[in-house]
Amino acid sequence: MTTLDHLKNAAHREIESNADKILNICSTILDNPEPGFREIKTGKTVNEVFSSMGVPFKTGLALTGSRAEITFKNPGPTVAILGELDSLIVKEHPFSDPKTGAAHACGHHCQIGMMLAAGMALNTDIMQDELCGRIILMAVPAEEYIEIEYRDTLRALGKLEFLGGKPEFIRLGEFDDVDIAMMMHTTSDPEEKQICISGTNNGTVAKRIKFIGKGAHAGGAPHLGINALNAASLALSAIHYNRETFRDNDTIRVHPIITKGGEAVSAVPSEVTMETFIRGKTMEAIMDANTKVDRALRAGALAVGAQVNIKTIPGYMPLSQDPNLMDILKENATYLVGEENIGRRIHGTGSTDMGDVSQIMPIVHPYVGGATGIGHGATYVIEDYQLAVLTAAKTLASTAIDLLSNSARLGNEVLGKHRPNMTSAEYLSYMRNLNSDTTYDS
Amino acid sequence: MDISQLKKLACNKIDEHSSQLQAIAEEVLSHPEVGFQEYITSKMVAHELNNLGIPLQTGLAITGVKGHFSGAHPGPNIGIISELDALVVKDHPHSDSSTHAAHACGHNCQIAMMIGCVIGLNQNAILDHLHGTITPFAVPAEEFINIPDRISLKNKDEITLLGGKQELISLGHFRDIDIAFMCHTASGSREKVFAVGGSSTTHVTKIVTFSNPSSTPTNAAQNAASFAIEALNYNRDLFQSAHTVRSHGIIIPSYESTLDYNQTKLEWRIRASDLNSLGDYSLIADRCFRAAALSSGCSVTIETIPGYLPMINDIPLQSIFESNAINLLGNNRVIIMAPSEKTGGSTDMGDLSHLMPVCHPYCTGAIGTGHGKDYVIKDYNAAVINPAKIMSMVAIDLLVNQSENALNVMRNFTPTLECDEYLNLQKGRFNIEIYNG
Repeated sequence: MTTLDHLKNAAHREIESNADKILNICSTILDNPEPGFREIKTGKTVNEVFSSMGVPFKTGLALTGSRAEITFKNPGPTVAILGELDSLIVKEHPFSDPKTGAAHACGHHCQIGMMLAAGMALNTDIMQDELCGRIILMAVPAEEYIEIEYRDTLRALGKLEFLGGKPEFIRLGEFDDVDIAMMMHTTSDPEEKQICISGTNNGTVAKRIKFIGKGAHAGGAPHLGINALNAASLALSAIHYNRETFRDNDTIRVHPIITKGGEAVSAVPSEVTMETFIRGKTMEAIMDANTKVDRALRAGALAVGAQVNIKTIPGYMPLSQDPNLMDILKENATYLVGEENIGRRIHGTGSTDMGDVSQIMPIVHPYVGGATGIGHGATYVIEDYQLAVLTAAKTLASTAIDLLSNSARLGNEVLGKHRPNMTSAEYLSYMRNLNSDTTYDS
Repeated sequence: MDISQLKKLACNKIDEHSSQLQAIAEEVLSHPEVGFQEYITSKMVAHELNNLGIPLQTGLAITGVKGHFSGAHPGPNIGIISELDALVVKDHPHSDSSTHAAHACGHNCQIAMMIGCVIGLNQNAILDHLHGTITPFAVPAEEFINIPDRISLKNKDEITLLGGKQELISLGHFRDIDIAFMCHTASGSREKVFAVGGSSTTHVTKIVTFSNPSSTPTNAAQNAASFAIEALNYNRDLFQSAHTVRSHGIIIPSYESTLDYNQTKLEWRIRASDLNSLGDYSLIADRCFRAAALSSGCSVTIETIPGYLPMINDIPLQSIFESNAINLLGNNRVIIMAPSEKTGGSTDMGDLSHLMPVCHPYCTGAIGTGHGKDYVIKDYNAAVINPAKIMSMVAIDLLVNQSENALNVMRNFTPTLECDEYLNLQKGRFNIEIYNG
């Protein structure tokens, strides 16, 4: 048996021996779901584990996040293992919080479990001797891009600049000393099998839109009003009329909702608000669709003589994964679950702020099975915690061992071959330039 | 001789020619022609008037035919109007197989009733007692259709305004006429036998061309047109009931025009009770067209074309119609509509009604829906003979006794517009706007 196999086996044994503890943590987090930037209890649970592991850690990052450091004796690259703290809001979910409706309908509680389990497996004496560099365990808030209005309020109060956890971590410099980042996400898609080697993901920008009309008696004198709901409705139509211009390859998604549709039926609606995301495979495609959406929104307002205020808010960047890093992870995954249980996904049309991290460093974001139901829906639950947490943790720990053993030969190779799209400074300036707030008169 | 004797002479003469008059109506029916192209119909009218020995002018505003004959004494000139043109209704039982033109609005009966009226009046026994002139006038292009064709006529300087009576006014052919009237067929249940009064709307037409600036063909122009219609409909809550607003139009099919795939044309019409409110609704429509261009990143050319003015039925003239209709048909069979009773339709008789005393009553005889494929004449007696008699009797009433009644109608009339004002108004409404979305 080589040293490498020996190390990996040791890591797997460590994970098995901590299995009960880890699955209890997952269960605690599942029972205490908290949406992004509100993960007070979840953050505390993580920090208690960091504390018990005896590793140095920082807390309160981007309000609720934290990160712990395992530093090996010999210098080398820094590999971050990420877990996402936040839940969704799905009132009908069987594990939803009765008060807030928050629920882990996307399996993030498993991510925290696998991140901590991998951390425990790597925080041992044998690893101290054989690995070099550092492992950073990151508990990151707010991956789900929800509650935009609430987060905008936090932004106005100066508590945040960006509305996602990882962009905030980048802004705060928490990724400045990280070379490689990895995490795994649960999946319920049987075609993705036990571990799914994924590819790219859509990026997104968010928009908050306000149509400003003029109230009037809807029965008595509608001609004196300016109907903001008609403006919004027409704007939605205009967006749909542009859909055929979106190229299949760009996987554009525009999915608006009306967040306020008028005050009372008896009055011509004077203010109607909408929110939408604009997702796409590349930022270029997203910005092209964004231009068309802006035009459609202005057309809706113009057609009825209303005003429209359009706020564009940076969302998440498209995700691309480092192929060399993924090869290493895949090899470890194959060892654990067998070739026949490895699935593949070329492109996902959802978005994640791991995409933002992928712009500035090599990352992987594969999927692990164990879930059933529809992601973000009331039916999404974890059936197989062994797979979703423990096998995932073993995969991540093994990959870290590959990267940082043998004087971090593979880790340095990955870094040497990777060409980041942008530096974190460039990333921040790009994100800031996406912000706009314009009012159009008709 | 007493007036009722004169009227009886006219009516008897018309009755004697009733089968000939029906034949004229049917002959016109079988040769439907759209506005400014009524060459065959125009010839038929000229032929009939010639046969009656009426001196005439032809080719007025391309196809108009105007005759005149006078009473024994000088006096006012009474215009008896009929409309030459047909609609385009493909599935109409009497539609032309190649042009799809069809008399789905009964104008063929107008021609016959005008001839009938001339036959009734053109007797020395009657003319000896009349002080004035009778001008039978068959006019082109009352239906405001085929606008792109008419625009090209305008661009070739063959016409200056797009409606037949508008163009005839512009050419001065109504200058010698003091009072004008006609009678239109109807199938509505409201006009049971004969109806006088009411008014019509004024309108504006927009030829809207969306152009996709991209050199590669996309659906942008089609989508803009579709969005424009949606946007127009979303503005209906601004239409005030009192304004009798109508907003309707068609997408001009690209295969019928010379346009390429990157262009889509709408022909849209806005109608309203008066010019002021029409102006407001016209601006709303323009806004929608600009928004549509913006929504798909197209450019749009909005060509505004003046339509007709609202109809003002002259009340003293109308009461002469009313009494003669009652005299002929009986009290309970004549409907009198108040001026506030507006139909959504429009006619260029409305334009004329701003310049001179005009009456535009309705006779029955048709069934089906006006402008529809089922609109046909069922009762030629009601649709041709009765109105011919009523119009003859009205003419007699106007011109007997030193044309006292005609002079009275003229004295009591105040034109809303002088002729020059009218022409400046209408010609000033033409506009072209280009907007890049």
